[in-house]
This record gives sequence, structure tokens and C-alpha cells, in this order.
Amino acid sequence: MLFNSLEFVLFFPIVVLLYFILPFRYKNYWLLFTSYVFYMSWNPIYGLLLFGCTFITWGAALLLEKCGKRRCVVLWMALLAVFGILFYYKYMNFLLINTGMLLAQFQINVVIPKFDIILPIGISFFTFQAVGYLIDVYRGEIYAERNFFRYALFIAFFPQLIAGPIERSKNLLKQLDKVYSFDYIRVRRGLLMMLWGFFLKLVIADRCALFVDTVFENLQDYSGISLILAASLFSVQIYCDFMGYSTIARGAACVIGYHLMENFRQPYFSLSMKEFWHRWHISLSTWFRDYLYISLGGSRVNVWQRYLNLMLTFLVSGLWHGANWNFVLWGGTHGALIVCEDIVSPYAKCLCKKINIHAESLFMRILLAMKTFFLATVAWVFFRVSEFSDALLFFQRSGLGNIGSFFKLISKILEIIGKKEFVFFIAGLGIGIVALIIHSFMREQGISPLTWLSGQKGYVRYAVYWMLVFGVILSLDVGGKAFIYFQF
Amino acid sequence: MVLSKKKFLIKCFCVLMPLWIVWGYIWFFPDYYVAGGSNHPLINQGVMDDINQSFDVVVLGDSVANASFAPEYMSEGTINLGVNATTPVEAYYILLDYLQAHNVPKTCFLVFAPKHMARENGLYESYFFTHRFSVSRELEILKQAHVYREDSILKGNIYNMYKEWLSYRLRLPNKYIHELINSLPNRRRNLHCTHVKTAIMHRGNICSRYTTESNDYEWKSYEDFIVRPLFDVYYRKILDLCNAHGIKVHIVMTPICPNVYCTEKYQQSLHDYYNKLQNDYPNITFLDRIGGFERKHMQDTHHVNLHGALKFSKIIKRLYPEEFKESENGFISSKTIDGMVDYLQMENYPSEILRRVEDTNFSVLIIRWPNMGGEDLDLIEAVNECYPLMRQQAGVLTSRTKDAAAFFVNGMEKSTYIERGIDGSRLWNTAGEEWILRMDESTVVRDINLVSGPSGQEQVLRMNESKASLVLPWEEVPFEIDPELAIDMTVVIINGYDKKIVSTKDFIFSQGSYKLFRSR
Repeated sequence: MLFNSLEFVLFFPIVVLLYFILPFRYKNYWLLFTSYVFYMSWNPIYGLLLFGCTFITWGAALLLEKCGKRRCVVLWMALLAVFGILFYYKYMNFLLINTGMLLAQFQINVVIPKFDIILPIGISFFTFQAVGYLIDVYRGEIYAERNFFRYALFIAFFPQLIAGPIERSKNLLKQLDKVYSFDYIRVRRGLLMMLWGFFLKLVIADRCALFVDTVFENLQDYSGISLILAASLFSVQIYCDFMGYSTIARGAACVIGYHLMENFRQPYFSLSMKEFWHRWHISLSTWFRDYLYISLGGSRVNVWQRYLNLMLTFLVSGLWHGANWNFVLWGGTHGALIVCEDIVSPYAKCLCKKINIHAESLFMRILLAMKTFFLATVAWVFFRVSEFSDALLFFQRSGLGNIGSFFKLISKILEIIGKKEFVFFIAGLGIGIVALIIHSFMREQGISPLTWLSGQKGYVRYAVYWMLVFGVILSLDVGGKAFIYFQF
Repeated sequence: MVLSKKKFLIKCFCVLMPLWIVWGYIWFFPDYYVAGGSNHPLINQGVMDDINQSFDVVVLGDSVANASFAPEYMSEGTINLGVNATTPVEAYYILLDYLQAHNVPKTCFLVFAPKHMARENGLYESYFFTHRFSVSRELEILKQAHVYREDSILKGNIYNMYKEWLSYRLRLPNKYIHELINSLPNRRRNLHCTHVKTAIMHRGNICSRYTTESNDYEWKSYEDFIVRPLFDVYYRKILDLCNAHGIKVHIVMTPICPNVYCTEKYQQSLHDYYNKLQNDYPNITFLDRIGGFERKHMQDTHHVNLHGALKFSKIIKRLYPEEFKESENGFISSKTIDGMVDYLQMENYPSEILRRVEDTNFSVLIIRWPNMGGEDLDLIEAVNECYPLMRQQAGVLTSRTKDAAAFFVNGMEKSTYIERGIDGSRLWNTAGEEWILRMDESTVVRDINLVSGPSGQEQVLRMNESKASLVLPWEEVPFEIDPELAIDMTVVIINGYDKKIVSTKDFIFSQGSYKLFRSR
């Protein structure tokens, strides 16, 4: 069930209404039931997969507490089972295809069958959440959850089930001990968060998608400024798309009474790629940090070992996003950029000192933020293309200075949406991006836009509400696209 | 707690005010945003509501039916109820609607493009969008679609089908916002009203509004003729309904562009299907595609343009003479005349103007200006069908290069031939005569002035030095031709019913044919 679907518009109010009406002891059961309905509305059979993953990790966690010496074996067995599920559904065909290609390189022609597998939606998210819980129990950071239904709700909690945030047991599982009654302030806050999430997705992301898809689906037709524009807009699109989803998820959880972790903190304001990963998809980056990078030795090893750990973490992070080499390359690019930054930064600081530029000055901050945006955008190209050869084509053609290509793109967009509607389309995108920038600046300054808005006079509040609602309604025309992270 | 819940609900309502406004607009002001392709069912409804006479011939089908049948050129008792993207499913209910509110026609022409026998094309985006049918009929369609497993309506599964239907029924903004936004800069209400008015004027014919020829050169083929069970069932329902009311049925295939090739398999399946229908319903007739339609007759691969519609309608009238009998007193309605005038105003080919006025009470005054230099008229005849038509209809054409020639075509009884040079401001009575004006080499006729004539109802052509004037006694419509524009020919179309000028068109001769320069 998509957040931006008719089903969800009907589903969510019913869930919330009954949640507040039902007696306390039934509330969590109701949430668990509706979460499975939410997941199984896409494909009922895969509900079993979710249940299986939940049952394995729940049982394994209980065993971990009981088996003193063989804890490690239990953990590995459970990890093998959960990652086995993930591997089968997500990476099996990738492995088979690449094995076939590798064998063909050695003149060994073997017909390798391809499995007809449909990737279960959100599998990477809920398996990682379950694994995180398991490792927390193994490390003794939390007790194993005895109540199966509560644990099942932790894994299947519908707002974050499909595309995160990948919640930690220390945060969400604890909250599930309580049930919540209707609280006007909290519900209002949650709904406004959802409204902002829909605005990001429909008004900005889906509009950007029109430009981006037009160019990336016909790379050979465009060059120079068109490609640069498309790549830049993809940076905006993926941010608004994913942050939109996360914000809706957090808002939906907030309406019910739960607090989900923040997934984004103005990533394009980062001054370095390292900082970028402290602000981008925080739930995943901290997951990899806590459960992979630190397990590999983290920063407690020598510098080259640390770089190797970093590279490995980012390569795996890339592979987590999708079973394709371009994702691996995307992860590798980020890892390499962070390593390079780490090597270069002492020299850069020295240089700044010598030429008397204050590293904390506004000018430098803007310059560094632009650099980060540029590097992230370059890396996003690997993320967006479907084949590595397309990425090469992109970089080859982006160097060509051809203004005609830009006009070709504009005329193509005009053809898609119509000449007269183009003005509305661009105006919508412009207003959306301005709203996003204002929102980001406020948050960067430590001001919560929602808190700020609550303190304003009625007409200001309603002007903002209506702008958002109106923007969303008018963008139903453009929208209807699935969230990008649903594919992972 | 109770108070805060109430407050919450009120605030939710207020915050969502833009949604209520948009939704209300969608519910109550469809005329303001429905236009373009999706409004055809509403246009059809408008035509049906306007009917206050009985028709002998009803044309039922999809856009190819609508485009091909021009009732003005068939008979006074013909109406075109073809609607864009219609399958037999929707056509059945349109016929049902028609029969419920009007007299039973004698004949029904059934026309569907092959693709509309294989899948639905506009049930949701057109019919459900405009709420052309009642809820019970829509539900009946969905039920039948489920029974006969029509995937194009099921949209994957029964849940999706009813979800889509409900979205349109409730007029949810996600289904309407696209048209709503598109309507903002376009003033669609005016456009929609114009469409309805035009359709009423042309007795339903609205799809064929172009004179341009198809620019689709891609080679295409019809591989197989597939009839899905649901459409077959409804096709038979239409035939049963016609049988029950004693309506004769003619099934007709419309022309296709020369770049479309029909495979043997396709032809075989098509004939098998219609043969079977003819076996089951012995009274129906089937007419396969008529040849002789060129690219210039087609608007796109499947739809005829104005020229094609004229040609097709005349052929059908000739093939089924008993269906298109004119009234004994030769009555022709003002709506028909308006329709013909509208077509003539849109026309931009001289030869088609001549074809269009054939057998009607319209006259055409053609003035050929001496701008063509040394062009050999015989050569022009070879490349442009205008002159043969002129010769055929006017009976005489002796004008040669560097002469200005003016002659009436059609509607004139006499073919008086007058030839003389410019000699001052003499007046000639030209009523009922055919004219050719010849000038010496140094004189260029630059202006035509339509001014009140000095006497009664006579049409008078006045010529001055370097001027020629057609004088109509009841109106004054002056216009000038810029000598720099080098107009080669002017065509004045005169309505013989009210003796008024319908249109004046200036043509420039280039690349072997006359190109319309401007139309007044």
C-alpha cells in the first residue's frame, strides 16, 4: 500500500480512529493486525515471509539469552536464516547472472537458470531491523522480548515497515510497552508532518522526476547542461522522495503516539561527505556504523585498516540498496570520497591557514556545502542509471557543451505536460523548492518549523496549511509514482 | 477530551478547505474543465438532448464512425451517435438511451475500429469520467466485465476495477485534477460549449475537423482481428435490440491510411467473425473497407479528415440509396445549411470546395489573378485537380497566363462567356451567369470590393481600372488584397439559400498546388 494511494487515505483514518476507540489491551493487537493488512495488501503470500522473519529472530533472541556458551552459534544460525531470505529474494539472480558472465569469460558456457522471483517490498528494511534487534540482544544491550505480538508489531509497524526508518529496538520496542490515547497536540503535529511529507513527495520529488526520467531514459539524446540539470534535480528528487516518505512515516507514527527516529538532517548543508552520511538516511548509516563498521574494528585500528573498513561498509551499503553493480559503485564512490577527504583535509586546513581563509567563514561554508552537493550529485548518477555503461555515457556527454540539448529537453517536457501547463508546473516546483529551503534553513538554525508555526497567528498558520494542501492537491496530477526506496 | 476532539475535527475540516473547494468545483462545474477527448460522451449527450425530430438513420460506433459519417451530405434523417473510444459495450447503452427517448430509426450503421473489439479504451477516462451513464448501468458494465473476464476493464482484478470506478463516481480529485489544471489557461467552458454546438450543428459529427492529411508514414499492419467475449456479447446485444425494434443493421468498415497493411490472417478472422454474425442475424449486411482513400483523405492512420468524410459519406449514400432518401419537397433544414457553411469555411483546398458545393445550392466565384507569370495552365492541370473540376463544373475555361479570370461555379444556369479589357467603370448584371474576365498584360487586378449594388437583388460585378468589384446589393464587405502578396486566386463562396457570402479565401500557387493564404 503506497502512502500516496487511495487505499492509504481510507486505511489510515480507520486505523487511527479504531486505535483510539479500542480498549487499551487491544490497541497493539489492532496495530499488528492492520500492519499485516498494510503489508499483505501488496501480496498476501509475502505476509508469511514477514511472519517467518519475525518468528525466527524472536525465537533466536530468546535462545540467545538462554544459551550461554553457544550464543555465537545461535546468532550465526539466525543471521544465516534472515540473510538467507534476503539473499534469496534480492541477490540470487544477481549472483547467478554474474557467475554465468564470469564463467563465460573463461570460455565455460553453462546455462544457469534464472529464478522467477518478485522482490518482496521492504524486505531490506524489516530484515535489517530484525537483525539489529538480534545483535542488540546478543551484545546484551537489551533483553529479548518475551511477548511475540509486541515483537511482531516492532518488526511490522506499518508506518516504517516498507521504507524505514530502520528502527532500533532500544527506541521503538520500548515505546510499544505503552499504548496511547488521543492527544490533540500530538495528533495535530503528526498530521502536519504527514502533510509536509506529502508536499515533499508530490510537489517537489514527482515534479523533478519528470525532468530526471526524461533525460535518464534517453541519455544518448541529451548532453551538457541538460544532463547536469537532470543530475542536480535527481539529487533534489531522491532527497524529497525519501525524506517525504520518512516524514509521512514519522507523522503517522506520531499520530498514533510513537516517536520514530529522524532519518534526515538537511544533508545538502553538509560541509563534507562524512558529515553528509551523518545527515543522510541516518537510520541506515547508523545501522551500518553500529553493526558492521564497529564490528570490523571501526576507528580503533590503524589508518589503512580503517579506510578498508570504511570502503567495505560503503560497498555493502551500496549492495544493500540493490542487486546491481551500479549501486555497489555508488557505495564505493561514497567510501572513496570519504577516504579521500580524510587524507586531504589536513592539507586543506593548512592551505586555508596559509592563505588566511577562515574555515568557519560563511563563504567557506557555502563553498564546502556546494562541493558536497556536487560530489553527492556525481555519486547519485551511479544510483540513478540502470547500467554502468549508462553512467559512462552520462559522464562522456555531460562534458559536451550543447545548448540545443537544453532546448530539446524543454521542448520534450512541453510535449509531455503541454505548453500552457508548463508555467503551472514550473511555478509549483519553484514554490516547493523555496518552501524546502526555508524549512531547511529553519531547522539548521535549530528552529522547529512546526513549533514556529504553532506560535503564529491564525491567518499565517492557515496560509501555510492551505498552501501545502493546495500544493498537494494540484500535484495529484503529477504524482502517483511509487517512492524510490520501495524498490529496496 | 471531548472538546479537544471536536476542535480537532473542526480544524481538520478548515485545514482541508482547499480540498473541499476543489472537490466541490469538480462536482458542480464539470463544464468548466471537461474538454478535449474526454468530453465526447458529454457532447453525445448534448446532441441527444437537443434532438427534437425523428431520424431514419442512426450511426453508432467509435471515433472512426463519428469521423466518417457527415450527415449533412447523406440525408436530413441521419444522425451520427459515434463517440470517441467507444466499444460495443458503451454503444449498446447509447442506443438504449436513444430508443428510450426518441422514435425508432429505420436503419442503424454499426462502425467500430478493430481495436475497440479487443479492449476498452475510454470507459474509465471518458465515460466514467463524464458520468455519461447512470450508476446502475455502470455497475452492470462492471459486472459483465467481471463475468467475461475483460482484463482491460478489470484492471488486474475486481478490486482495482471497483476502486477505479468508485474514484470516478466520487469524483476524487486525483482523477480530475489533471483536467482541472489543464482547463485553467484554456477557458474550457467556452470550448466545451462550442464543441456541443458544433456537434449539434453537424448532427453528431465532431471528430473530423481537420483538412490536413495524415503525416504518419510509419508502415503498420493489422496482424489479427480479435474480438473479446465481452465485446462480442454486447455486439450481439445491439443486434438483438435492433432486431426487437425492427431496425435494419449495416455493419461498415471505415477507410484506413495507405500505410496500413492488413494481413491475410487478419482479413480471414475479420470475415469469419462477421460471416458468423451474418449467419446468426441474417438481416444484417457487412461492407468491408472501401478502397480509393489516399493519405490526403486521412487525418491519421485510422480516421478520415474532412475530405475523407465527404468522400466516404457520398459513397455510403450511393451504396445504400434506399436508406438516404431525400424528402419529397426537397426540404433542407437550416441546421444542415449551417453545417455545410461551417465545412465550407473550414475548407482550404479549392478542389474540395468545388466537391463540397456539388449538388448543393452554393455558388463559388473563382477569381484567378494574373500573378502566375509564365506558368503553363496545362501543366497546372496535371498537378492540381482544381482545374479539371472547374472545367467539369463550370463547363468552360479558356483563361490563359497573365489574365485574370473570374467565373461562377455551380448554382448558375447560364454559361455566358464575356471577355473584354478594362474600360472604365461599367456595370454588368451577372446574376445566373458564368464569367471570365480577361485583362491586358499591363493591368493587375488588385482589389475586390463588395459594395451595395445600385439596383434590387441583382449581383453586379463592377470593374474599374485595376479594380474588379463583385457587387451584392444588401451588404458591404470591403476588403483589399495587398499587391505585394501576389495572391494567385480568390474563391468567394456564396450561399444560394440566403444569398450571402459564406467565405472568401485567397490562395497562393506554390509547388504545384494552391495553398490557402487567408480565409475571411
